Amino acid sequence: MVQGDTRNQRGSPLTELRRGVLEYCVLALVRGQETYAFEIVRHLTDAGGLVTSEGTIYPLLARLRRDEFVTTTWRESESGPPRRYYRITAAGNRALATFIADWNGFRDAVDELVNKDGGTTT
Amino acid sequence: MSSDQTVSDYLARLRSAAVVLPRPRQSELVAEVGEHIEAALEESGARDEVSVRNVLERLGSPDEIVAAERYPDDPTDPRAQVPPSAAGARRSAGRSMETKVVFGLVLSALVVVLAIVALSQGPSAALFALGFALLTPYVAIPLVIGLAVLFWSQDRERESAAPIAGALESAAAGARTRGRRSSLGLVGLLAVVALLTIALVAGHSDQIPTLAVFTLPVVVALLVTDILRGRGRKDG
Repeated sequence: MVQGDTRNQRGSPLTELRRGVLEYCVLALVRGQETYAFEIVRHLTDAGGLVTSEGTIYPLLARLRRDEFVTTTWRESESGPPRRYYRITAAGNRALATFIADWNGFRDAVDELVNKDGGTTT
Repeated sequence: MSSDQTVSDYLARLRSAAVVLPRPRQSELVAEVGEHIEAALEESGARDEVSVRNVLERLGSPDEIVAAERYPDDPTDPRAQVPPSAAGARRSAGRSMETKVVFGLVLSALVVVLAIVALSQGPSAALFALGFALLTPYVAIPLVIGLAVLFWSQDRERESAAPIAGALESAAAGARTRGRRSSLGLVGLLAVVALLTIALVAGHSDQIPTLAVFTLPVVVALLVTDILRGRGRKDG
């Protein structure tokens, strides 16, 4: 993928970072208990700064289903049509665990460099 | 109710943008987004025009959503900015063009050979010759290499990771397995079994050992291709 001069058009590098980590954030959300799509979107928007367009979560969920990182169950809901509940799978757990290990190292390394004492302007 | 109309218009635009997606996914995506809109409006407690527009604003444009579906690793890809129908047609036309040419050539060659044999020696001989021609190393190995290259390049293109998140992506991609594609090795094995059965039925059972020897390298090559495809994906 070409970065170069198109970087300015794309805006912050955080855009790509968000995209890379978003699916793992979703996996983390369905790790403990099963959750339905709208709830997942809400948690992500509440966390702040992770989602720009909520609609793009749905393609992401579809991809996680296809990759079998999540399984889904349809359940009746009191307020309307049946909902699809998402839960992580063993494969999803493995992928998430690998990501977490990588992320912690990555986050600490970047943090160390950009937030190091003396690195801020006085 | 103008706000219901706004929602219907939005979903209609999503439906038409989604034509570039696989059929089953088209209606599924529209349904999911539709349910989201309903849930969001219920959450906000209001269905007036302003509330609806807010919900749709947060949802993003239909083109954005479809782009996220088609280019999961980079919805800002310039190809995604083109109106989806044009980009989709161009992209799938390019892909299917190569495939069509390759298969067209192979198929025509086979049909010609078959026709010649059938005309001179009868249909069961033609069937036998078909199997034999397909599976001799001189034909099969270039064919297998061609197919492997085709499949492999399609896999790689679909899995290109964003550079900044690349370090994270490729490490985790090792855990990702997409075992949904058909195994070439299995297909090859079935073809060999079919050929040997034809040989037996057509009264060429004395040829079976020779055939087995010829076809074994092909099956091995196909299985190796499967492994390489799997490993190629694992390494991101």
